[in-house]
Amino acid sequence: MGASGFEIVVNTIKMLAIFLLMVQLVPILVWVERRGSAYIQNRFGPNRVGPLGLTQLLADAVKFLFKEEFRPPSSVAFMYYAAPVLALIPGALAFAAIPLSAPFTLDYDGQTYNFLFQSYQLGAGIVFVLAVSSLGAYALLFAGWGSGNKYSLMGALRASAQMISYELALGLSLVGILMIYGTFSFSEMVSAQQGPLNFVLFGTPVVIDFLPNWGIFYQPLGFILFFAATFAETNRAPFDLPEAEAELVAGYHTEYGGLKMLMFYIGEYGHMMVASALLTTFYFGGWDLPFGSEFLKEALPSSFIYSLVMHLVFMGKVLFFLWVFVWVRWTVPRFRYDQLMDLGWKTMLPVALANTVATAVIVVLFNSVGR
Amino acid sequence: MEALVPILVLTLVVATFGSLLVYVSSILGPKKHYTRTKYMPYECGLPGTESETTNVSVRYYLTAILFIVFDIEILFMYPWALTYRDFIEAGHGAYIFWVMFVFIALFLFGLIWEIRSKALEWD
Amino acid sequence: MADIVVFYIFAGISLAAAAGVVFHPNPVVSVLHLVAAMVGVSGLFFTLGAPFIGMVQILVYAGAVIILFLFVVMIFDLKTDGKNPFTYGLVTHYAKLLFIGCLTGLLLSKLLFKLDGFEFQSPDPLAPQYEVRNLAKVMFTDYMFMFEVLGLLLLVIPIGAVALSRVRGGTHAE
Repeated sequence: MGASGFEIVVNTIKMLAIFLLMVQLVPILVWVERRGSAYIQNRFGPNRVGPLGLTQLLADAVKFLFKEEFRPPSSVAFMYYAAPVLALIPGALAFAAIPLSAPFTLDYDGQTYNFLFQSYQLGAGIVFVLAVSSLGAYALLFAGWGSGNKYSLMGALRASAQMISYELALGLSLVGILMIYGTFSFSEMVSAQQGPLNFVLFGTPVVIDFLPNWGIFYQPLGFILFFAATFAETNRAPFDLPEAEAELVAGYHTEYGGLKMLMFYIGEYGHMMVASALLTTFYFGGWDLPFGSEFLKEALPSSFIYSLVMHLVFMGKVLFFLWVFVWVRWTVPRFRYDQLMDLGWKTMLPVALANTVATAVIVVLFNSVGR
Repeated sequence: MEALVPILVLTLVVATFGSLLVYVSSILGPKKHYTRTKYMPYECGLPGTESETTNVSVRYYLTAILFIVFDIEILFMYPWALTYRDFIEAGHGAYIFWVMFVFIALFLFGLIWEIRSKALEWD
Repeated sequence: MADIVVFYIFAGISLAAAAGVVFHPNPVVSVLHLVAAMVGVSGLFFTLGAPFIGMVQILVYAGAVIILFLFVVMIFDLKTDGKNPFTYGLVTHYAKLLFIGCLTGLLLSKLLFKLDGFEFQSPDPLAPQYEVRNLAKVMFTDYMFMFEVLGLLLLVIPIGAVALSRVRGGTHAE
């Protein structure tokens, strides 16, 4: 947490702020989802409460607060109540490990302290995020088994089988990007993606001035695979089979209502935020603003303000991907279960393997791509 | 070790926050009277027909065991991908490529065998 | 000081969860206790200065192996209120006690009697071989052959699993 009292205080505030950022974004995302769906389907959506329907979120929160607390007698009390809490933890832990902006310095009591714009930095940050996200399946299994309802159980089983199937494609699509940057650390990956696109082609350095040095130019196929796999990992449409309402009522959260239901929503949107932040960090330069980072660093008065501006850039990219999640939901119809499994095991896994081998060949031939 | 303390603190904060939300709704919400149908496991509005525990298809077991095997193979690729550039810079690029190529060939052989043996069919 | 506290927290979690695995009558809940035990063991790897191994522990055991256990347990019929001979029979009861006794005796003997030549070397948390990069270099040079054999072994496992699930009478039979 830090050596001196000042560091401990700042790090604690930072940690709480990042967690609250995640929780506070959820109502806004719910609003975006509802208004966005309405826009795509040629409806109005919630537009009565406040300007553009924005205070609908507050009304919803109050409604959730005053719902009756209810537990079906066939459920297992501990698991029934632990599941929504467990749904929050993986998203929050993973989001805290991702750098949300440039590091900054603060002066206090005549000394200068360095801080990172993330709750904690781990040497093997990528593996940590994968490990923590893989625990997300247990919230669903707790809910499914603990509810004592067969639809909940079926939804949870489907969800966990789906999550583990796509975790393979997700993990394998990352091998290429790891090979290019040669690091497990998010910060090193972001700093390697700054400046214009440059690489070494058969011993000759090539610089392309008008493109940023982002991962998507080195790993286009890896990006597509990772992007598709995140939809399955977050149980979003077109892979939302665990809660396919035509077959399973509402899947693992059939027996939940009120705030407990809201917590599952926070968990799901938290997973979406983590997925968007990972996409941004791996393939779109993290908090890097192409052709503007250097200029802004000179122009802005302090490194803290620079850091905040860069955070806005990062959040802009993340919000774009979150909008894509909503967009895709109303564009692509839901898969059938066997199609889903076929896509994961028979298409994405071999393609990801081919991507890995191709990247290995290119890296060994061209000797230095990216770095 | 130092990295563990903030992770633990954050886990505690999130768990407290979550438990508080669960607790708050039990205080604020109304208490409605008991009806028999309300306390039955939800089944599309009809009286329940089956017990809540149903048997699970053996395909879930197959999916899980194949997942473990491939997951471990992918995890072994991570340190390889991490040090790939180091080996190339040390002049052992071909060596490290073929080491992993054999491994990936075995991986691919396994995957093709699974697909051809119809172990991954869901119908 | 702090690392001792963290060590005892994780050791406590793993032990309590492991006890839950043994004593809970419902196999599904028992397997879910195993998740907590694995997370505790992963924390212990962190305190030993091997965070990568700790993360792999979560990824492989909590994220994969226990989901398999859960599916396997759920394949069997569990309609008998969770109380079935698998966990409540007299023989299994005594077998449990026997195993617990053996393990406790082993631990106590380690604590009470010092055997010559069996000094336990506690790993140095800052030793360089725990760094992933060095681990990888050793694995792909000195243990290259073992690594390829492991690949072969991992090929055998799914073939065996598919063969098993295909025997006559199974839902996967042809």
